[in-house]
Amino acid sequence: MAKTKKGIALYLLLAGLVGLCSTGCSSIPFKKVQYVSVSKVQPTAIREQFASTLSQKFQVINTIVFQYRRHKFSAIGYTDIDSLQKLFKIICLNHAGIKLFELAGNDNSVECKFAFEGASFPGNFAQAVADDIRRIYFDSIPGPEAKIYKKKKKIIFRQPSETGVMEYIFAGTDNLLVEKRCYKGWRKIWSVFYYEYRRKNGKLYPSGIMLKHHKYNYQLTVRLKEIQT
Amino acid sequence: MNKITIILIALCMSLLSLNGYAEQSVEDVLSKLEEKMSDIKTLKTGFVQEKKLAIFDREIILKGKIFLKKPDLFAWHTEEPTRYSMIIRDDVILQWDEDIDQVQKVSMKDNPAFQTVVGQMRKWLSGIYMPLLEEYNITVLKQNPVSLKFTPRENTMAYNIINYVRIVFREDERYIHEIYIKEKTGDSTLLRFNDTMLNTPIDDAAWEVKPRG
Repeated sequence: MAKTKKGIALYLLLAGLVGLCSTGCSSIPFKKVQYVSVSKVQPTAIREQFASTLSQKFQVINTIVFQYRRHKFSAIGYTDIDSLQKLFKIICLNHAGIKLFELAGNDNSVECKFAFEGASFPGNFAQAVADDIRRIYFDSIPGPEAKIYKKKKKIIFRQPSETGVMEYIFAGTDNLLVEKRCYKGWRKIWSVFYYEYRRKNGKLYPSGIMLKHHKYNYQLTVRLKEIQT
Repeated sequence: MNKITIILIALCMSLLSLNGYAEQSVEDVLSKLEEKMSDIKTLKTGFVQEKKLAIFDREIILKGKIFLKKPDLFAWHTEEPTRYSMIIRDDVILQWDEDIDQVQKVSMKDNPAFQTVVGQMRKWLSGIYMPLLEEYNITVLKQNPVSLKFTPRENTMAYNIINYVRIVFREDERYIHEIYIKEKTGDSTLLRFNDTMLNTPIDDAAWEVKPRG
């Protein structure tokens, strides 16, 4: 817990670099998912179809807004993902093109290659950023062992994970992954929502991503600007 | 004296005079530039920032506009890949970006990180480079137009980050044409200025942090 709180402190320190502001309540800046009946949908087919359209190796340019209580800051992120090998690299720049930090990592570890010298980042900020990248981009397909719950307008895959229980929710007109969430016991720890999938070279990329960390009460909003495959 | 001797003497004289020009001291070149830029009261220019990050295959391009009004107004507007504005007036910074869509106010006094960033930005855009001789070894790469190379001296903050900075001036040497920064990480940044206008009136909208409409 202390580690994550320090991670939040990172974001606040970064906010010092790019500015602080007061905000009202948050809203979803993306087109809401249009829920339709899934009565005729085959859950396992949905999983396989989605897996085949996910790119395993790509680079994306995003804008990222971090929100914690009344504080917000935004940056431009350049992210390189290899979800098969579970490798990632990320560079964050401010809007004037000044590099804030550069990280490289895998499923278990992360290395800080660069951190802006003027900002005194807490020791484990890299871990906090890496955890969010893994939540968003890794393990996007439920495993074959996942239990399937078919609701009226959504299909839920539920499976145990290292930290608790993971749920994958498929819905919408194309039956795509719209939410991934992690529970510990009955408590929801975090959720990632995916919006407005965009197709490039036969692969799908969400144009909008929102990560909500319910336990620590922070939120990330990621807007896709460019895909480089 | 035959023709060949005359040509040789003329050639030697021209080479000597060229050599003399090239050996103009760095201080002379810098003070000549400062003199040329000293009458700039306002500046408006477009910019294209090409960032080559060592770990990415492609260049990242930021485009926008910069405005300057002496003595204390500075505006940076990024238009691509995302819209962002930063207005600096004295030691107060106002920021806006399209994602957050709120104006943020930051005091440089309370924010040393920001102070460093803005200080660096102002330093390279000012064209006043004489004070940089303490921090950098400056060499004149080319004359007409002037091109300068700044290599950080050891035991300076820049030494740990920057390999060198190269600045190329416009033909008339009244402002900068491009700034190239090569970093120790392998990253590089090329900031090119376009449609630069000096001492022309600047529309009030340039100093508005949140764009109209």
